[in-house]
Amino acid sequence: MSELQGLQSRITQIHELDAEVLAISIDPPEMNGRIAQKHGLTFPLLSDHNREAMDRFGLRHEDGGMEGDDIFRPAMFVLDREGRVVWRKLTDDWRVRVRPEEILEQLRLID
Amino acid sequence: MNKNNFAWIGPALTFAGVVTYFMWFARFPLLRDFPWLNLPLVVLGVVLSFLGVKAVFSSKRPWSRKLAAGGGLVLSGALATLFVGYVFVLSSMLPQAKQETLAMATAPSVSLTDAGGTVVDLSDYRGRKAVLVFYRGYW
Repeated sequence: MSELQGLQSRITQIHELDAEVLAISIDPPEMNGRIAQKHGLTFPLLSDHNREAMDRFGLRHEDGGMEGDDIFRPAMFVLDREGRVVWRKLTDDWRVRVRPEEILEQLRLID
Repeated sequence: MNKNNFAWIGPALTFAGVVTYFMWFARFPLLRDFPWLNLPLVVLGVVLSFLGVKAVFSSKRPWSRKLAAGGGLVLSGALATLFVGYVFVLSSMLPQAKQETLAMATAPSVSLTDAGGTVVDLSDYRGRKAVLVFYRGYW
């Protein structure tokens, strides 16, 4: 969540770079509506309720949890206009999130 | 200051150090990535608890006070251990990222539902740059 608030605080700059933030989780759409309102998030919160996106991006780790449950790895990808992955950050510590400055820097590198 | 008071100030400080970390960590990346503020607080709490126990045991205090001071130290130590364990061990216990994710050249097309219930495809957003954030929701 905190990474979303960080990006929201820089949303004007992100839009000026002709980029959009797409936030994806497995929360249901109704919940996303409430969360967006509560935290004042203006970019789309997309629901991956059937875990299709998590699987296509390889972010589901079967038996990765402590009780043998599946875990979903937080991650960030920066895409160019054609959908090519130009930068990615795969979380290796639950506590540490990408800072918005790092994202802005990457967006500036793309035409 | 009466050193006996350390027996309750110490555990309180450790408790405050742990609680404020989780209440603050989202807001200040600098204090979150390494607990510059909270780790010293937590450790100081344990040290004070220990000094408090020493003071209480060396003064003529009823056994109930000694028991409370000892309990405080145990609690403070346990909290500090959990905190350090979480920050330096547990929080980085994630499986290795998959090779397919590390090597992925183009974002796959995948359908998602927006907050209004409309089904969209990730490829609908092509034409602009995009920041995809896979985050941990409330589930």
